Amino acid sequence: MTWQISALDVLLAASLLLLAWGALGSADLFKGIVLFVVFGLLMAVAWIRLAAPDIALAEAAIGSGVTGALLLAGLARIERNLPVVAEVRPTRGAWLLLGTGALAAVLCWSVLELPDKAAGLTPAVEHHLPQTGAANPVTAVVLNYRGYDTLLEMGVLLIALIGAAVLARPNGARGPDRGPGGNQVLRVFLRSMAPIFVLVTGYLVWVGGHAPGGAFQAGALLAGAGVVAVLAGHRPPSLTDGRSVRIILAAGVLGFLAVGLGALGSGAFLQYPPRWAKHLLLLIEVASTAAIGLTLTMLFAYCADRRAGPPGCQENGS
Amino acid sequence: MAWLEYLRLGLAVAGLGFFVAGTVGLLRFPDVHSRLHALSKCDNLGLGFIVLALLLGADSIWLASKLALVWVLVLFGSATASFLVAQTALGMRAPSGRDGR
Repeated sequence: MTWQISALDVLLAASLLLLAWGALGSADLFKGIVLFVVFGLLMAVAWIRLAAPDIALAEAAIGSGVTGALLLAGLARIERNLPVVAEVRPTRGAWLLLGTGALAAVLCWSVLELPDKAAGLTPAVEHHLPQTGAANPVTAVVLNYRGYDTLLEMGVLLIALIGAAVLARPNGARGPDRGPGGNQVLRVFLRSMAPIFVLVTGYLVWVGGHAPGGAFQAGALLAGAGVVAVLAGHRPPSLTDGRSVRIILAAGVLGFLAVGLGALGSGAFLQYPPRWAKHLLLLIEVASTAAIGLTLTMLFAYCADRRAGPPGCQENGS
Repeated sequence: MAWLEYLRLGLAVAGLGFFVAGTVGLLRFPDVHSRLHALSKCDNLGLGFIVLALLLGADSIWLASKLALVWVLVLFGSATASFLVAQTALGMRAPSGRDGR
């Protein structure tokens, strides 16, 4: 396999390994989470080096952005330092090292054995690209060729939110949202950045049709705006707020299902008619973006709920 | 235009210098506030020089304005984050203005 490996790539790979080791091995959970966020950022750079900008966007937004916020919010409710664990017995450690090393060796060998000129599925994808409704092959794969996967992913997201809602304490703050009452710095930030958040979200959804972008990245950005709003003191939406919250949350799955069932008339389930494919894809993406943004915001709100958690647990910061 | 390439290289190296300075400050300064001060040099001047170097070689005005917008957004975001870290480190409640405190 002929690759062009530069010093940057070697440095990147070494940094990724070091960061992963640090994130997993530190007894201080806060340090581990910070290293995990940095790991996500370097992973996004690695994806760009592998010529996959869509995945890099998703990794930076969801993998290190939203997940970092969720982890930090959860950390505020548990003890910050892990208890000292018993030492691993040397023989068990040796077996673990042997097994992991063997797996790593098999993976490296299989990557090195990849044929040089194998085109894979690229010709098939590009041959039918005009009929999929998207000019970006990644979007075509995500929403058209493998539409089932994305439909089920939206379902998984919804189920995860329902699970978190079941475990969270009932929302004690009744009444209308009285606006942000907390930090003034965050209030100014939110007020000036909210239009830009919404604009870039719409831009990502629209540009996903022909360039790196898409619904998941846009939804994660919207969730970032939601996280800032929750931190600034806005009362987060809850499932009991009314029908509109539940409709938006279910819009991802429902939009997909509606389009898929509607396509039954012209073919099989989820077989979009090529003439309408672009518009149907846009419809699905808009619905999914709203659903993903609201779902991740509510997940963060559940994690960041100060009143939940065991009594007497420490909180980091104010 | 060879001089343009050299100019871009020089600007990028200048940005790199500020990044190194900020990182050394992060590692060596004694407390949180001075480390924040060092980090802000990374975001403002380090990134600013590198964006300037990329701007001069941008293909279109749209790409150039997107790069400049990225720099402005990073400025705003890092300033907010530095404020929040500094406030938390001081242990003070931030003035909220709403309760008049």
